Amino acid sequence: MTTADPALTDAALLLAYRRGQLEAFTTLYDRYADRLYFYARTLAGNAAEDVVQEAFTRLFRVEPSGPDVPLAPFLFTVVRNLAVDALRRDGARERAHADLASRPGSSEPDSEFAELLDLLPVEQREVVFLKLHTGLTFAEIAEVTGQKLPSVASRYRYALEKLSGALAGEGVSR
Amino acid sequence: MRIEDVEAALRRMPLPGAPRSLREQVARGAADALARPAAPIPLRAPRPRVERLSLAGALLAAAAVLGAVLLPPSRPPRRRRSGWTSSWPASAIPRPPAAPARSRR
Repeated sequence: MTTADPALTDAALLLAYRRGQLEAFTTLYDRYADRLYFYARTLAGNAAEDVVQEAFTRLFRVEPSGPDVPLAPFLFTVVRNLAVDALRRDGARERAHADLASRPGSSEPDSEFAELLDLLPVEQREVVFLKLHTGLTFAEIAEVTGQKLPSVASRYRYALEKLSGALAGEGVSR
Repeated sequence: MRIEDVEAALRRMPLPGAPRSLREQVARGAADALARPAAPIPLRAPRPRVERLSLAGALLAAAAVLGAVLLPPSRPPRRRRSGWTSSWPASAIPRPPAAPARSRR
């Protein structure tokens, strides 16, 4: 069994890396990099690259207790926290949290999905992204974002209702 | 458009990729970390940053705590039963004999 085997869990790959298999970490990177980068960019714009690099740097030393421990909630929470920190460092300390909730498009959208998400406030944007592209449950998304479970579910519903109109050709220039 | 169709359409949309340079930086860092192993950190999800604390909410909470400390509820003290009779029904606890009624003359 090689580390490229899709049946290997994230934690099994991380354990293999901790035992010295560098390619196991590369496989782990390939599984998550695009989604973590997109999430970081949604939250912190241009700081996304630094945020994701730092998140993986923290993962180097993490030792899961077993091969079935889920890694995704850890990774997305770390990226989110680092993104909030980056916003604060960017001189927006007093506005960081408010900004996160009301930021307009945080960077130039370069995909149809990003363009659609830019129609939403950030707290809906991240819920939609996490639900549709990470496989996290609503409960896990609530943990990652520090929101209450009912808020997460209702934000998701409102967001999809809004995007439904946009997809039908009412709101997005495509 | 049904919600399920919206979900399916959004899921089908590809995400833009992370920069190629990021992969190289992370791979280099992973190799360095392997060469200089450090004490492992047990996997534990970090606490998410608290996003917003509304000023009004904070003031209300502070006022409630202060109110509870400075203005305790004015309630007559309850008679407490002693420890070993506390499990008895009230009717089983002996009461002091009532004072004899006085006749009015």
